[in-house]
Amino acid sequence: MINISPAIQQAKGKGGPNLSSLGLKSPMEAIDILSLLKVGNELVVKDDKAFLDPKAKAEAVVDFFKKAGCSPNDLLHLAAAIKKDLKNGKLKMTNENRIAISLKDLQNYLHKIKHSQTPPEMRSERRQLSEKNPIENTGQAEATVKPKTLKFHPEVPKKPKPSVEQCAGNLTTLLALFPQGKELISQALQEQQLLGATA
Amino acid sequence: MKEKSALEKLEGMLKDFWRKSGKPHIIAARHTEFVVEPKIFLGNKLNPEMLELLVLNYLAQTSRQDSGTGDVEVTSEKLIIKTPKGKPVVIVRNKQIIQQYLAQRA
Repeated sequence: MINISPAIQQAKGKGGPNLSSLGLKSPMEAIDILSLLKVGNELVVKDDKAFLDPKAKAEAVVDFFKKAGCSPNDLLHLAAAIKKDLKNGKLKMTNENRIAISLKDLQNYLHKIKHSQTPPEMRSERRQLSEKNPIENTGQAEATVKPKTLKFHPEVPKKPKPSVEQCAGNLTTLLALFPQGKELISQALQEQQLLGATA
Repeated sequence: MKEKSALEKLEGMLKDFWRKSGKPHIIAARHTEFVVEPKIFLGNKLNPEMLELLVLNYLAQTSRQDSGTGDVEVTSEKLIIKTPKGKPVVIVRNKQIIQQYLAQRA
């Protein structure tokens, strides 16, 4: 069965669920899927002419599921769950080009949609708007203030400092450490200065 | 034939120094011997092995009179080699090298 919990979480907070997280391309796709359902012996869209009129088809679907106690948001989740099961092969199209499910199946789908919970890692805390500091209400404060509890991933090793660290340029270092090549180093410095490079 | 630049000559000189003072890796074939030479300049830095060799050589040659004049500053944690103007050139954190230098000074 499809994991719909993040989308439900979003649906509760905002206007509607995130269609892409449900695996749906558009709300009309949900209507198309649900319109093909045959629950028990009852067709969701009884009049075949309604298939030709998207508005009539949507109304028929909403009316049918309203009687079953589904909200419009639940319809999207239901469509997503049915689409997933169709892809998995759990549900199949009948010869009449309908998706036949029993009333019990429908109740199971609705139960799962209503009682699914967001996993802990997907939960987020809601921050109250601050009346004192309006900057905190914008995203600016989050960008500049470092969280106190920030922890680096323990698997990332700290880069060790080299046992011998070079602080100056190559030629400056050689000039200090390699007195045998003093003349050549001076010449190289002059050449680099002529070329405009740095040592 | 194009004349070598001073930097190329310096690189050759450092490679000679490596062969004499360092630990050159030699690959021996039946009739040939390959000496693996280090790449001296790695961008803006010296090859770390080469740098370490130069530091060891420098510290070995540093007389007691030089130490304490500002060229070498040493603590138990690190050893700093500076230019005569006092700008740090190399910081050594290798405790073995530091102890060796301190033992040499004592």
